[in-house]
Amino acid sequence: MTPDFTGTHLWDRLCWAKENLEPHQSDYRVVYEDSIDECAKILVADPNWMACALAGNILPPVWVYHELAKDEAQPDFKRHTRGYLLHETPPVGPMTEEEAIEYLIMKDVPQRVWQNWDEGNRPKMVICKKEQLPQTRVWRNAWRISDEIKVAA
Amino acid sequence: MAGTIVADTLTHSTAGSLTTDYVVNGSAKAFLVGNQGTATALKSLNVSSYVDAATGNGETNFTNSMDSSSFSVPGSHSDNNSFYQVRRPSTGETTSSKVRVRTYDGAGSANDDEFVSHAIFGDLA
Repeated sequence: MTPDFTGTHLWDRLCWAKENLEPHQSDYRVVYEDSIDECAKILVADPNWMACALAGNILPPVWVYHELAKDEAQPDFKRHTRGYLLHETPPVGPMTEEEAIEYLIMKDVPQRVWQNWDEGNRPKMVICKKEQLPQTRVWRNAWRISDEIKVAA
Repeated sequence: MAGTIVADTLTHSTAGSLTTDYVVNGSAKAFLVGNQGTATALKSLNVSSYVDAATGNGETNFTNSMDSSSFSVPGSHSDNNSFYQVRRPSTGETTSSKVRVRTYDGAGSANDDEFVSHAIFGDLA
């Protein structure tokens, strides 16, 4: 069971998790396209991070990362002055694997992709299982999301 | 947190003393050992995800962000037959929360490796 990490530095929580939680290798993959000139990108959850998400009470809420990203986008940004948000904001509770992938999308996929993923002629982002990806990396730089993908209503 | 030792200096019986600043500032704040071919992490610390962006082109996202994009990224990449160079793009693709690492073969072509590893040294946010 995760200790009470209220007010504990996030890095210390991650070190505890690495020592005490079994890594969880997810079969989910997030395929996304953030430029029409580039091939599709594949996001893979880190097994130690996924263990933290499933255990709960370790990771900060995802809005904390968005706040830090806003700070970094300022033209006069030099270094973070609100890092305390990572450490002092009460951590989120246990997630299912699917909820963890949604969290990870909002954390690590560019907002311009996940906020408008189903606008346009075809989806810019797809969650799939690793078995659904090409089984070899031949022509890796030509991988695209299929035009035949249907978005569920 | 239980088990905390507060100390500014470590002293060895014969080898001398070391301030704990060296330990705090000199430790890797994140690392990743992975396989580019399968896009899987084998071992890691402080990594939330890995993005396979293209051949020889990957992005490592941090759970605990660094204080800025100014951090050090020593790394090594190899497969059974060749050794590769690591390039860290200087602008744009690296922020306080992620690092883009590209790998090339000896001829300068982008190449995936069976084993890739890199570590992050610097200050945490």
